[in-house]
Amino acid sequence: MRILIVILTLTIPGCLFAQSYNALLIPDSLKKDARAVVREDEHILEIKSPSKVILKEHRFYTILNEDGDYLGDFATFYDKHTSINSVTMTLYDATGKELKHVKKKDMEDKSAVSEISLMDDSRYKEYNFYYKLYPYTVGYEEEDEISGIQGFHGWQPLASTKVSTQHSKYVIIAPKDYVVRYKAVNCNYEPVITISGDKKIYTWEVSNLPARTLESHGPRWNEVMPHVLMAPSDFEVEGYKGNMSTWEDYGKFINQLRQGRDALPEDIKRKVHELTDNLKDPREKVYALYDFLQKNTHYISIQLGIGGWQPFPADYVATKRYGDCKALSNYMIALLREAGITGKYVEIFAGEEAPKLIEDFPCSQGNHVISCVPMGKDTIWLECTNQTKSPGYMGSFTGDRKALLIDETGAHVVSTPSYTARDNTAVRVVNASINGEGNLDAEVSTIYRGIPQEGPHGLMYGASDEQREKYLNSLFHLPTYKVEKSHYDEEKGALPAVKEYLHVVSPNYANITGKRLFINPNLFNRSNYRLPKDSTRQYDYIDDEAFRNIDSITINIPAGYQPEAVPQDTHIDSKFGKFTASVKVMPDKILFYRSWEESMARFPPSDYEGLVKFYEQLYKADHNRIVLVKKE
Amino acid sequence: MMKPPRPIVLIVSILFLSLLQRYCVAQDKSKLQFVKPNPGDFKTPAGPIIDTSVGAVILSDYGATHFVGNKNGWFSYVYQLHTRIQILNKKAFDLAKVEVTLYTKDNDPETVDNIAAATYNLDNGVVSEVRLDKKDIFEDRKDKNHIEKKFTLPAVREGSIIEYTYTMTSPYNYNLPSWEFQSSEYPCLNSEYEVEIPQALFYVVVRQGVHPFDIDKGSEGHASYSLTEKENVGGIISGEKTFFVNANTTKHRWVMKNIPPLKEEGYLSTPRNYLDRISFQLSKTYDGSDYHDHTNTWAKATEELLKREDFGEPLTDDKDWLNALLAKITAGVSEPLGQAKAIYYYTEEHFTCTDHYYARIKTDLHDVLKKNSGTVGDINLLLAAMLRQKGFQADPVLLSTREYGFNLAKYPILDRLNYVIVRLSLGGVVYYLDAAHPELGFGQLAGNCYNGHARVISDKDSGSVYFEADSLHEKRTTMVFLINGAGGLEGTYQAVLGPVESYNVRRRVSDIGEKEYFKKIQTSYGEDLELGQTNLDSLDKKEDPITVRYSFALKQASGASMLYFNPFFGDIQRENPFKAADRKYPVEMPYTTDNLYLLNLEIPEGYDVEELPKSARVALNGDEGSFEYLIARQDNMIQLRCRIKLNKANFPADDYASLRDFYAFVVKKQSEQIILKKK
Repeated sequence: MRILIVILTLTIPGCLFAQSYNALLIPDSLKKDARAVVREDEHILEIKSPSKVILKEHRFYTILNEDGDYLGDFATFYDKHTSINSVTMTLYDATGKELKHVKKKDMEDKSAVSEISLMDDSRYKEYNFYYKLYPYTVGYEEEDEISGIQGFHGWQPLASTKVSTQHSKYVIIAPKDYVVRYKAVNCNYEPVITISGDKKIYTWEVSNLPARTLESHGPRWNEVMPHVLMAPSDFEVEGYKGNMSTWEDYGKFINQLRQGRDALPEDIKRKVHELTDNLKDPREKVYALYDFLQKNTHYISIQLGIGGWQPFPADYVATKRYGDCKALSNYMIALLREAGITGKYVEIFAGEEAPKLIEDFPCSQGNHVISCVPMGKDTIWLECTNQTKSPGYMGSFTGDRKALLIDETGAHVVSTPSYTARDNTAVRVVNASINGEGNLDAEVSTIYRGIPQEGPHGLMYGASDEQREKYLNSLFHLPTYKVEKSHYDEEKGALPAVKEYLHVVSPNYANITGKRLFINPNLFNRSNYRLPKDSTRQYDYIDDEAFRNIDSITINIPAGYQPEAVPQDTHIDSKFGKFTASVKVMPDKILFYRSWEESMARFPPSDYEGLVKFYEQLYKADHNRIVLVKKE
Repeated sequence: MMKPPRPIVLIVSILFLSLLQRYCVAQDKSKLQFVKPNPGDFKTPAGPIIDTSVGAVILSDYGATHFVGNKNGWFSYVYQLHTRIQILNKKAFDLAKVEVTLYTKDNDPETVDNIAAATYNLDNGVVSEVRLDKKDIFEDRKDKNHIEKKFTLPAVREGSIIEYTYTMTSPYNYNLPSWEFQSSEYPCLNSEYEVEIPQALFYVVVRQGVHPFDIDKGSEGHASYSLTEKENVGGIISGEKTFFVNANTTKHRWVMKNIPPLKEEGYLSTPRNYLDRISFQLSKTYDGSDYHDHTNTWAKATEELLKREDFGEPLTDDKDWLNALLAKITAGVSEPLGQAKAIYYYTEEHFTCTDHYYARIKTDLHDVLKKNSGTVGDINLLLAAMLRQKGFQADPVLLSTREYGFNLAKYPILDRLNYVIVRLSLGGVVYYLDAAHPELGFGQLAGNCYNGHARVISDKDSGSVYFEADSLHEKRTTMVFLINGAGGLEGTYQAVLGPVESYNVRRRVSDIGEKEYFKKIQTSYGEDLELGQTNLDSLDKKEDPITVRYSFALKQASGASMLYFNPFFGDIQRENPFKAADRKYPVEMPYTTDNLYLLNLEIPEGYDVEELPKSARVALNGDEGSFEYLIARQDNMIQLRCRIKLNKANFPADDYASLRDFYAFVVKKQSEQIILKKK
C-alpha cells in the first residue's frame, strides 16, 4: 500500500579518496560489538531546482564477519523519477588492496514491483561479490538524477545495529534562497553553512561512532539512534507544485492531486440515493455506503509515477471495481458526498510495526490512506481496502496512532482510536470432563473482542473450511487432539466481537501413572513465554500489547479419586501485569479460573530481571498440575 | 469423506501414433470463444467436489498447443489458453489476477497475443459484461531473460464469472507447456488439453496423478507449415527463403472432469508428486530425411549432457587456469584423500550458492570463480572440474530434491532434475559430495537429496544410483546422569546427534552463535534448571556427528512431601506430530529414526520411590517400528531406557492411523512421572 515512499537510495562518486581501506587500521573501539564498520559515507545532495536533484554518494564498508555480509549485498532502486547516472562497486581485501571493480553494466537489472502491487515502476540494480574472507571492504559510488522531488533521505551516521562508523558526511547544496529543512533527532548535530556564489552549502559531519546493539522488545532504531531528518520546502512532481514546510501547505498539495477526481457515474449516484435516502441517521448512511463499498470493490494496487501519490478517479473505481488505498478512499469519500456526508482523506502509517508520524516535521509520511467521517465528538473510521472489517474499527493495522487528516485547509495531525486492555478481551468458558482413561472432552466457548478478534475474524473470512480445520487442529498444545466441531459468529461494530464455539476431544490428555492422575487444569491458554536472562540490558523493555484474558474452566473428573497435590493459587498484581490462577478440587470436579491483564507499558533496564521473574511465574502457574490419587 | 486415491500413477508414453483412425477435426475454435453466461449459469453447480466453503469453482480450463513454422527454419509452438471461473467469495479474488511469464533470449523472445478477458455479473436477473481494457495489461521486465505480462479482471465481486484467454508463441519447443488438470485450491469441473504436433517433432508424455481421464484419445491429422530461413551465401546473410512443409500431425486430446483440489498434508516429500498433470519432452525430430534422437534414453541423455556447454563439456578440457589455485589449496597435503578433502572444503567455504534449483552452469566456470557464487550447478561442476584437474575421477550426478518431486529411473526427463552433486571415486571407494551447503561434511548429502533415483553422468560408467530416505538413518543417543550434590540434584546431559540434526545444528549455530544456542536451551528450561558448563563437540569436524553436552543443577522445592519428576530432559515428544485425524496420501518421512534415551537418576536424599511408570514395549505394524520404555529401580538408582525406532521412512496412507496411535502412545508414555515420597 505504498503511497508515498521516499527512499532515495543513494549515492556517488566524484572525489578521489586518499583514505586507505586497510582493515587493520580500524581502531579497536570501532570493532567492539561490530559486525561491520562504515569507513566512509558521503552523501551529497544538490538541489538544482524544486524539481531536480543530483545525488552523489560514496560509501565504504569494512565487513568484519558473516553477520555483516548484508552490507556487501548491494541493491540500488530507481523508478520513473529517479535515474542512475552511474554506479560502481569495488572490493578490497583486508589490507585494502583492490580485488575487483564492477560497473553499472555488470549489475543485474531487475523489477522491484512490490508483492502487493499488480504494477508499479520501481526497479533495481544489484550486485554481490560473495566474498568470504573477513575482514573485507566494499565501496560503492553512485550518482542519481531525481526529477520530481518527493522527499529526502535523511542522514543516518550509524547505519544499523552492530555497525560502527569511522566517518560520515552529509552535504546539501541548494540555491541560496531555497529553504532547506532539517531536524536533528537523538543528537545535536548542526550543519556548517557556507556560501559559494549563488549556492548555500550545508555540511554535517561526524567521526568515530562506536557500534550500538538493539535488543529484543527494546526501542526501535529511530527512537535511539542519532539522525537528522531532511525535507524539501518547495517541490515539484510531474508538473504539480507544492511546498511541505507546513502541514497546511502539504495538505494543499495533496488536495491539488485529488482535484476533479471525485465525479461519480450516474448509475452509482442513483445507487447512493437508493441506499441512503430513506435512512435518517447519518451513521446509518455511512454504514450502508461502506457496506456497498466492501461488497463491490477490492484492493488492487497500480502505482506508476505520480500514481504513487495521486488516486485514480472515482469513476475509474466505479467501473473497474478495484483500486489501491488512495483510490478506494477517494471513492468512498465521493460516495459519502453524494449522500450529503463529508468524508475525509487520511494518510497514515499502516501495520503493527509501523513507524510513528513525526508531528513537528512536516513532510511526506505514511504508507497508506484511509478515510473518516467526523461526527461531532465522534468519528467513524473507515478502512477502504478491506471487505470484511467493521466500520469504525481500525485495530492493529491502523489503530492507536497519529495520522494526517487532509481537508480544504490543509493537513492536520489526528489520532486514530486506541484499544486498551478493556477493549482487547478474550473471555473463555469451558465445560469439560475427563474419564478414567484420561481422555478429555471439552466444550469451549470464547468471545473475542478488539484486537484478539482479528485472528478468529480471519478464520471466518480468509480461510476455507479445510484451512480452518487444519489450523484449529494444530493450534493447541495438547498431546493428541481433534476439534470435532467449530462455529463462529460475528458481532460487528467499532469494537467488533467474534464468538467461537469449539468441541475438542483429546485422548490421554490427563496422564495416568499407576494409581495417579495428573491433570493440568489450564486447558487452552498457557503462557509459553520466557525471557532469556540478560544482566547487561541497556534499553527499555517495551510491552506493546494491551489485553485481558479470562478463562473459567469446569472439569468433571472420574469418581474415586482424591487430591494428593493441588497447586497453590497464584495472584500477581504488579506493574508488569495482573495475573490470577486459582484452582479448586471438589469430589466430582475441578474448578479453574485464570485471568491475565496487561497494559501497554515501558520498563527501564533495571526492571528487566523483574520481568524475567514475572513471566517465569506465569509459565509455572500455567503448567502446574493437579495430582489425584485413586482411593484404595 | 472422499476415498483415498491409489498411490501415484506415473506413466511415460511416447506421443506417437501408429495405428490411427484418420479422422479430421479442425481445431475447435468454439472452445476459445467468449460466451456470455445466462442468468441460470450463476447458480453454483452442486456436486461432491464442491464444498460450501470453497472460494471459487473452475468451470472450465481449456488449453491447446499447435505448431507454426518460424524464422529459424523450424517450428514454434502456439499455446492457447481459455479459462472460465466462478468466483464465489473474497478468498478467491486472487484468481482475477493473471500473470504470464515469457522467456526471452538473443532476440528470439516468447510472445503473448490476443489477451482478452471479461467479467460477468448478475444483477436483478440481468447479466452485465465488462471487458478488460488493453490499457490495463502491464508488462513487467523481471530481469534480462524474463518478462511478465499481467492484468487483473475488472468489476469482480462475489459471484462473478470471469473468463480470459491468451495465445503464447514460443520457439523453445524442447518442452511443451505442461498441463495441470488439478488445481491446488479449487475444484475444477472440466479440464481439457489438446495438442497437434507435426510429425517432425516427437514428444514423450509424462502423466502423473491419481484421477482418471474422461477422454484420452489420439488421432492423426494433416497440416501445412511455412518455415523461413536466412539464406547464407559464403557466410553472408543474403536474404530469406520461405518453404512450405506438408506434414502429418499427431493429435491428442485429454479431458478430465470433476477434479477435486489437491489437499496439502505434512510429511509428504512434496504434494506436487500427486497433482494430476501431463508434461512433455522432445524425444526425436525428423528433418525430412533423417530422424534424430533427443534425450530419449538415459544413454542418449548422458551423451547430450556430456556435450552441453552448460554441463559436461566444460569438464573435459585442460584447465591450467585452475592449477595455481589448486596448488595453493593442496599445499602441504600429499595423500590423495586429503587433497580431495582440501579441494572440497575450499569450494564449500568460498562459494555461495544463490540457486539450489538450477543444476547446470549458468554462465561459465571462469565466471563462477570470479563471482564466488553461482547455482548449485555452477558450484558442484566447478568442484568436479577442480577435482579432475588435480587428477581425480569425479563425475556429476543429477538428481531431484525431495521438495522438487520425483524423477524417473526408466526415462530421462531433464526438467525434473534440479540438483547436481559430485561422485568421487578414489581407491575403490565412492564418495558423494555437495559443496553447495557449507554445513555439510565431505561425503555427506543434505536430507533433501534422499529422494530415490539419481543418475551419474559419466563417459565411462554412467548409471543409476539411489538415495532412499530409508537409507538415511537418523540415530540419536542421549544420556542423562543425575546425582545428589551439595545443593540438590546435579546432572550431566550428553546427546550424540544424527546426521540431519547435526547439519541443522551447524546451520543454527552459524546463524545465531553457540552462546545464543545454549541460551535458548536455558530459556526453554526456565529457572528450575540451571545450565553449567556447555559444549558442542565436533562443530567444525563436519564429517562427525555433533555432541551436545552440558552440566546442570536442578532446583527442587526443598522439603516437599511428594516429588513428581518427569524423567525426560530436552528430548520429550510433547505433541503428536500427526495432527490430522485422517489422511489421503502416504506418509513420507525424510529418514528413518532411532532415538535412544538413557537416564540414571540417584534418588534424592531423604526420599523414596512411591511409584514408577510401568515399563512398556510396543511394535508398529510388526517390525516396522518399535517403542520401548524400560524403567527399574536398583538400590538408590532409577534407570530408564527409552527408544523410539522407525525402521522405514515411507508409510502408505492405510498405515496412517496406526502411526498416529503409535505416536499418541509415545506422547502419553513420555509424559508419565516418577513419584517420590519423603521418607
